[in-house]
Amino acid sequence: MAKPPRIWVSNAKPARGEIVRVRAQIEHQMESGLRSDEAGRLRPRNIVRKFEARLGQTLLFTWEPGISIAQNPYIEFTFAARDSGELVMVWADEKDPPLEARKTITLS
Amino acid sequence: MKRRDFVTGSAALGGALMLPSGPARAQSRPPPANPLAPNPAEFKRAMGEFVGTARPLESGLKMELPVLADNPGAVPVHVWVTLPITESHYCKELIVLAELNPSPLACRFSFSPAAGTAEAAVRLRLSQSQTLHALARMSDGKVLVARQAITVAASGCGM
Amino acid sequence: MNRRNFLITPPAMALALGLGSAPLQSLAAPAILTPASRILPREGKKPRIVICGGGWGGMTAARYLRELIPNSDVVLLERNPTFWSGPMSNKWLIDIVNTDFVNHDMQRPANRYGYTLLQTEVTGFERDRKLVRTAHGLIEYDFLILSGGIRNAYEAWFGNDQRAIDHTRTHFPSAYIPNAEMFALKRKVQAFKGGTLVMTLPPPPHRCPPSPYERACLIAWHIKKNRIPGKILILDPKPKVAPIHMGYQTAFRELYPDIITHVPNARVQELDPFNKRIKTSAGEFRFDDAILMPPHQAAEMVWQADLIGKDANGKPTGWADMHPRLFHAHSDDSVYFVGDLMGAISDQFGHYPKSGHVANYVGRIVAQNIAERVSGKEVLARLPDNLCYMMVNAEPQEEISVKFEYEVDPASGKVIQTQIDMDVRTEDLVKEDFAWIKEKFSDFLAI
Repeated sequence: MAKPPRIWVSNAKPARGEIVRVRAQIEHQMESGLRSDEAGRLRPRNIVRKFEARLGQTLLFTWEPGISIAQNPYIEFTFAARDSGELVMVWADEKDPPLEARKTITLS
Repeated sequence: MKRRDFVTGSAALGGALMLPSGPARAQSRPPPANPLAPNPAEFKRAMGEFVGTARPLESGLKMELPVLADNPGAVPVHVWVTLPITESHYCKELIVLAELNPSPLACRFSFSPAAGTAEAAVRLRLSQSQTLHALARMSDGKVLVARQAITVAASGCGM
Repeated sequence: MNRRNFLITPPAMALALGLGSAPLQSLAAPAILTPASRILPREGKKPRIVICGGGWGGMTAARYLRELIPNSDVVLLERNPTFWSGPMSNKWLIDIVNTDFVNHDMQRPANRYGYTLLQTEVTGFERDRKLVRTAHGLIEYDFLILSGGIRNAYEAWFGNDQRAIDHTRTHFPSAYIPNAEMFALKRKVQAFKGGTLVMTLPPPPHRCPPSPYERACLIAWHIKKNRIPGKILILDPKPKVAPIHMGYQTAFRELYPDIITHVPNARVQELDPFNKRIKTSAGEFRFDDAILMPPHQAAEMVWQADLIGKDANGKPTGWADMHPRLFHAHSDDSVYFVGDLMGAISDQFGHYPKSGHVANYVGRIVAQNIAERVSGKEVLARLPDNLCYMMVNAEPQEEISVKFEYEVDPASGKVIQTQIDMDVRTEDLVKEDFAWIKEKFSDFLAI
């Protein structure tokens, strides 16, 4: 998880109630646990198990990927902008500390 | 999704990921010979668990994906609830199932009413041609379903 | 060596080194070098490495050879008077960077790192005598590095119809070989008043795979910003946009929906540059203006050295016939290949991406390998990586990126590629891109 998450928001200064579209992608192997290593042993599974998006203190949604989610997981979602606040996104895998990204959303 | 906690190191064959919980069950079953083999029992179980006794409605939920997946390692899937979303009527949960993948439950979304929408796009890896299913549970208990068949052009999905 | 002062023509001045044994009576007349002259005589027993082509790969190899083999005699031959970077040149087209950003003096790195730079044209090789033929004379080598990039294979379209080739080259330049065509393309973009601008993409493998789409995005941005009633038609021989399929598709759809049309499976079948008509496997098109990118091949020097690979049917592959892990010619281990002219590496992915990043990386690897051979050490097989950033939006500036990682499959011993597409266009990737180019330029341009 060396590189920062890549985040795109359709409009960081939306009108109240406007639907904001967000795209987020991180670099992650999403090791399924089905692949063998050089010695023929299965590589231990390590996938992103949980993604969470909040606006300020308010949870928008969670996403729980399984092993069928592609590597370098991509998530696109929308939300209705009801308040200004920090859009906080957190990725948690099975090994490393969680990864976090923030974007300030200001109602115009 | 607690059950995945029971899958321990040596049993971490991905196919075992979605097996019913319980170490006894996980140990009594030998690992499948082909790790990419489908798991129809698990597909049925995940589907049944989500739907429960509801009768899924074939409207109100849309799923978009290519008919032909030229890169089975990253197949774009877009799902969204078309019904109006309000504080009192919203989508609680949405799952995507890949019927013939070794671990059919591709992912689960849990929406809060604060989102004001129920929409997401992700990318899946698919082990073979199959049908994808999206299921949404609304706050009033209704279950919505959308399905689409997809042909996987090349073999191997990078799992 | 005072006699060099008597030489009249300026290009010959730089070559006076080669006249060490010229008889004194030649002072009466200018000493004109001919291609048969021996130039750059050897000094003692220093290992001599001649590098043909001073781009990203050749200049990197020159620097590291001088550092890793302190007593080496390194000669870099380059036909252009100055260095022009392919990477960043799409941004230069629409003035995101200026000319000084992509165009650099080559004498400074030569002096800083201590190699000999000679502006000349390579015209052939006598490998049995370990000689390079140039427009200015013959040069001896112990090791030879070919890093001349690509050539435009117009004959794939026109056979030997030289009139059609010349018309296409001068009116619809591909601008994939620095640097005069870059100026022609920039003028074309600035003068574009509207209508259909066709871009034909070369079939893979070709130089800088994602860059034609970046070029389309940035020209489309110019069209959009200046409200030019124009469209861009991308005629792509591939079945889809690749690499970074989804990042580009999203950019085309969201940023330039009325400007860019991508036509897949459009292999050029007939091209009439005089009447501006093109027939492809995806249909026939007329154009008002065009950027016609013919298929790419290894630069002429690899053909001149007779080191082009052959396929199973004995036909030339168009690329260098080389050891995929050690980068030297299969038939001649004193000749190395660096950069875009390199041949196939693995049947899993074919060629390393023909990018500045790979050329820079392999330039360094080859310098290490030659240093190991000169010092009698074991030669280690090393793997490069690749990284490309592409600007898809100029306001705000947003980029996408693609990364390639390589490893050796222990079972087959073959090189395996992992490709990481970063499809979400962001402004922070622009910052990374500029940090990346700064680091690379400082690696071989001494800036």
